[in-house]
Amino acid sequence: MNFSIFKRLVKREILKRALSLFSLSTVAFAFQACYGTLNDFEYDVEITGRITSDESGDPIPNIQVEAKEINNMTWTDANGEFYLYAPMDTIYTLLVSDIDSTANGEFYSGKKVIDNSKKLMQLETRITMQSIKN
Amino acid sequence: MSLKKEIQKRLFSQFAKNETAIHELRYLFWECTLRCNLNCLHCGSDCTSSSSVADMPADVFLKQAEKISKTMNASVITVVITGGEPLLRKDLEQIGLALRKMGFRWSLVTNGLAYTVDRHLSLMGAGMGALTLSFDGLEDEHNWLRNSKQSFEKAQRALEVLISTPRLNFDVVTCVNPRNIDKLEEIYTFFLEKGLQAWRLFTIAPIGRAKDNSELLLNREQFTFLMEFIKKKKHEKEMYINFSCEAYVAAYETEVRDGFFFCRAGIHIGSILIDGGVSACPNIDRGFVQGNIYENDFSDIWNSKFQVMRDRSWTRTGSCANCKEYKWCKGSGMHLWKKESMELIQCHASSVFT
Ligand code: SF4
Ligand code: SF4
Repeated sequence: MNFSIFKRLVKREILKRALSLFSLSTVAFAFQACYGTLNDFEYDVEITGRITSDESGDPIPNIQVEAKEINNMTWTDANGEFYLYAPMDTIYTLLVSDIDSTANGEFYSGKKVIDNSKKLMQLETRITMQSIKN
Repeated sequence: MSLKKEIQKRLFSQFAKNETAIHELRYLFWECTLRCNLNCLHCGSDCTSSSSVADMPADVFLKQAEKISKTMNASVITVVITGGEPLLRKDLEQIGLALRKMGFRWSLVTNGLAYTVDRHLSLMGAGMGALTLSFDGLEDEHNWLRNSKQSFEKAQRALEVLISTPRLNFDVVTCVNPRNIDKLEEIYTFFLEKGLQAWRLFTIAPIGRAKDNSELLLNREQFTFLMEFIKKKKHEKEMYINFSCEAYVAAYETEVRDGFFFCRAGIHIGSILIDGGVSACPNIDRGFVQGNIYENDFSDIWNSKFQVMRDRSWTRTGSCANCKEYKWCKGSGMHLWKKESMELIQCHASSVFT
């Protein structure tokens, strides 16, 4: 970082404090262009998970993972893994369902409650699904 | 003007000057497609349902995003995905997840026509943090401007889904025009009853398809009416209501928006356009494009170009040359300038000068 930018950044901090005295500090950086959206500064948690079969232990692709009460949904990839962003709530119930019929095997729907009372920003989970035996 | 407002104004002006010198990217538009499922009368881009221009491949954009994340602070940057209608792309979720992994936040601008519950859930799961829905009035006015009989019903369905998600930084944007200006009170009540928390109003600039349609543009009286309407509703504090960033509005500054006018194009706002062009807000005259990602990296263009947006002294011409407001306005919004003639298309403030 060159010295002139460093000076500007120091000046930014001073101005931010001065603006906050006049209730302007939030609007200084929270802006939006006419054809754009609001900025996003919320905290949320990244949940990563892996879904496997109870019978074979193999990962199951294309399983729908839904956290209905917080309006989020995703699907497992070829490795049975999923990534989901969720708000910083404490408890999530993940509903898992096999939506592709017999492709990739057949499994009963299930659920898993995830506790984030520590308000972590990353969580990892493993879910086992019970296979439907013919 | 009160002493408090005068001090605020001077402080903010110092802040804007300092931010211009730092020019830290905080808002990156990505024009991901020109395809659209509507054919709006006022569209700023000339998109069609079967645009002949191909969508930008995800990997091309993500490669640039990755380079940006290595040279800039991605955690303060919101990537705003726009079009065309971005929902016509099926890979937004994968792109969104990849952006979050690089440290960016991302958001979407949509007309709501293709916004279903399932799509909402999967976009949220992919870490979408903000969304703007276009909604231009009650049924008749909305469908007229959107040029589609079903657009109101679908936008309303999208509105209900979006309102049910408190995590989302969500707002509705309305193009105010001569057809809906007398209905603003009714539209306001409709939104309030739906539970909408943030509403932004903007006027239609004579650019894109709107430049040939005088039916869309407000006259002085209507513009003043709009300013008074927003001012009044802001005081009532039932909803977070604002005039968009689009222009300097003289005595209405801070009365119709929370802060003072500051066109951040090229200062905090950059874009990657459909053809790889690098600019700021997508509604800016394409003659002002600063480079192309197919030739140079976005970061290099951002760091070495954009002088035309960071030093606006060239705007001191025509009606701005001797304007007493120039010190605060700096020639208003960048999107209001024509590159070829370097002329201002519209001065909003002159409508409210007394
Ligand atoms: S004439 Fe130019 S400087 Fe004066 S208010 Fe209008 S746009 Fe701004
Ligand atoms: S170019 Fe226009 S839309 Fe973009 S920041 Fe400036 S005033 Fe706002």
